Amino acid sequence: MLGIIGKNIRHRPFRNGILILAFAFIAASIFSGQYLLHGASESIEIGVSRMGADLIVVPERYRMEAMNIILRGEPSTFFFDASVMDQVALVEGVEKVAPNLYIASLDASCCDVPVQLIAIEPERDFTLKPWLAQSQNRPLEKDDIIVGSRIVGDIGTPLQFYGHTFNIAQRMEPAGMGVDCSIFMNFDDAFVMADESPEKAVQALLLPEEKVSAVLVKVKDVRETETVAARIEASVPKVRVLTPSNLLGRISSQLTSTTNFLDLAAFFATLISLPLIALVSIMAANERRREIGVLRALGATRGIIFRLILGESVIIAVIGAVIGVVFSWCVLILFQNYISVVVQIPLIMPNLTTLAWAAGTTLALTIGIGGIAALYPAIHYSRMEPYDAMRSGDL
Amino acid sequence: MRTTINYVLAVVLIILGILIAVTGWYIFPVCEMEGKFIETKAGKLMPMPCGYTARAETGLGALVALAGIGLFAFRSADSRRAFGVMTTGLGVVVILIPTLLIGMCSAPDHICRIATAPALILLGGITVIVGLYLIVARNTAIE
Repeated sequence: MLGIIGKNIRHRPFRNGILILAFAFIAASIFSGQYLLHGASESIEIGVSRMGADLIVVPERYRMEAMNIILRGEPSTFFFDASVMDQVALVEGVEKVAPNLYIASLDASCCDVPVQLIAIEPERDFTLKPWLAQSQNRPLEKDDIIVGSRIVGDIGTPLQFYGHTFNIAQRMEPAGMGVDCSIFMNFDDAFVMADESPEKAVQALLLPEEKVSAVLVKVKDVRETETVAARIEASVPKVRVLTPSNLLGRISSQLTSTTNFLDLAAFFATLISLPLIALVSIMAANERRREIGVLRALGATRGIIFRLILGESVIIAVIGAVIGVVFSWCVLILFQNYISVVVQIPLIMPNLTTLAWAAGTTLALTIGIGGIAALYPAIHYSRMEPYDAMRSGDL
Repeated sequence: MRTTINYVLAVVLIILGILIAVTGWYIFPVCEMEGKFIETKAGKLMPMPCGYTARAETGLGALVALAGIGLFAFRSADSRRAFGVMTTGLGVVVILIPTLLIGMCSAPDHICRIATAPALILLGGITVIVGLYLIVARNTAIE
């Protein structure tokens, strides 16, 4: 039967080619929507886990700036009183706290635009220390920096910020978030850089003592993350707590509009294609009425004719869906960073299980659409008597 | 029917050639189109690597388009296969120029890295697929 279906498809290459393209478009739209949705969610998860903290406490008025640092690496400099850290540490459910200093760089050789410098306190830090122990087996030494995946420069090469020379000690894996465009350094080195800046840099850097930009929090029980966040906001004045869920909420509007657009494209493509595919199936079956009649006369059952017509449409749908998924996958991987910049969402390639699930769903939906479209001609022509089919058909 | 397929492939190659030629200048313009150049110590402005890539791709795009025009004019099965070999080779070079042979700017967030290079890789890939189809498709001497 597959041989007959294959010959039928090859017999009308243009008509079937257009149908395959229609199915490919539907599949590409469905798959792209799922890819973006999962890619953004996984990027947030990896980005937050890379930060190593369950919660991030930031000054109330700089909440948006802090979110933009974490999500997109848009550089910013802000501070609040370091005493906030002690207040946060006393909140019920908090296990550990560690300070961060956010400093926007001036132009540097690594990058066309300023990047985010993040200073960590080695004694208290619980975010990079475990990762560093795993990846290079030694702590961050004087003037060592860890760079995000999108910062130019090999390990061991020097980079200058505010006139101070640092050495790249380690490079992070891509996360699709702001951390990719960030540079981590020690607190002490940051203060040395600030002290030297009036003489060495074109613009002096002012780092006030006893100030921090953010407090990273590790909670005792991760299931209580949201509750602990609410407790911190209630007990410490003028701070906001960033959680993975509100970071995801921040990008959801951009993400929703993009996925809505893709869903709408898939919907309209289906709406236009469904009657078109049905019409083409009817035309194809009608052209082969005599052939159907001969097959019936030779002993082919109604079931065989039904499967023949339905099978043709399903195989065309499968070919279209595979082309659509593979093509959109290639485009999404190649243009991942561009999409991330244009749509302003963090984005990485979702894990293979998620991708396989998305591809499977897309394939199933597209085959379903192909099957539905061919259902009427399949039923109609399979019920036709051999004599009627042969008499009125033309080959 | 075979003639029509040939015509369609010829048109596809011409469009691909034009797209390859103009991508670096108009669709996803490389750094120098935004006024970014490398300045030598003598004060001379030199194009960045992406500028040289765009120039090379313009030539390759013209050759791909020429293969498309050739496919219109020479219809024998052998000519078709020859154009297939030529197109496949050109497609591979279209991919290799922004990735290995010349490359793009080193900054990962430059438009040439995030848009121009991916677009050229995609167009090169499609060119290779069309070229391979021309080689392996059934013997199709044009009536």
